[in-house]
Amino acid sequence: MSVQFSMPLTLEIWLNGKPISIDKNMSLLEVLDQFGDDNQDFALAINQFFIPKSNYSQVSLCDGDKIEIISPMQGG
Amino acid sequence: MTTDWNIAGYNINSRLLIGTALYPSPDIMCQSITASGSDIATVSLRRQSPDKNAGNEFWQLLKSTGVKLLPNTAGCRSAAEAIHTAQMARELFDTHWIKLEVIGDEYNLQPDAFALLEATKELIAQGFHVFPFCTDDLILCEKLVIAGCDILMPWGAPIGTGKGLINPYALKVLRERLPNINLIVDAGLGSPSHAAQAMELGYDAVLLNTAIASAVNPVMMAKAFRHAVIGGHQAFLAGIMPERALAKPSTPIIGKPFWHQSN
Repeated sequence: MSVQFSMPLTLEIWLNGKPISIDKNMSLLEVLDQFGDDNQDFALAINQFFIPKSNYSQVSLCDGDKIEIISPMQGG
Repeated sequence: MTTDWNIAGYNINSRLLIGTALYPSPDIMCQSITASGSDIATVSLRRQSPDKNAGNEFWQLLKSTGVKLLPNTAGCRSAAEAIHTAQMARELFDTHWIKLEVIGDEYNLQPDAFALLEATKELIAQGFHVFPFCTDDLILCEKLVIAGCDILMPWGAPIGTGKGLINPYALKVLRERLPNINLIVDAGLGSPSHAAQAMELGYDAVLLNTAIASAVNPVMMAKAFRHAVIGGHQAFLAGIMPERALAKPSTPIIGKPFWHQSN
């Protein structure tokens, strides 16, 4: 009897504290396009590391990554 | 209008820095900023909400006021957290200014002196102009200056308390010991007289939010603070008379009528 292992086709990641499933080949830019809102004034961190906009296209996502999309808000 | 003032390479008139939180409405926030005469307003960061566009609406409205923005790291509890928040703020607000807050105590929101100094050193190395929110501790302030700060923002009292200057002596010592540093009293002010008191001590400016935003009439209170800051600063420049222990008549005694003269 042989046991066959199949590679998962999706990744489980966190987007602003909410779990989402994405295709394992999905890029960061595609995630933002699909799950982000229309507001383009934002900054982004993954696993508490700031990712400059100029680097978005080079980022590949891993299972369990925590993406934080940050927008302006009122402050004192 | 007060005398011209240079802060972080930026010439401004107003010595009142204003926060943008807690107003009854975005429109009253904008009216209050205008009424205050402030040139600089503080802003913050939060998770983008996919359910609503409120953050963007606030942002567009604030941009329309034309004030210079000073992003903060409110809510950060460690140097690492404050550093990556500052990095995001720099990109988002397109400024290397950062009001650095690293809170060490939940009860009175007291800054963590050690984490603040650690984050300050790293952010200055990364090219930020750091506005550290600190206590009035002289040693901490001196170490922040050695780290490269030319602006310090000691608290008047814990954030949002409205208690005014709870330790005027310590603030006065800071002013005397750090004469070439821009000193801004940040947090704890409740009434315009508190702002005037800080300015009379020779502080360069005050930063406040709750005292205006939580007033019954925020726009009118913004005007009141504007005048208090100008009055306090001009009083400092004019030179306040020394306090005396004994009374001294202000009316000249020469030429007094005979019935006031004895014998």
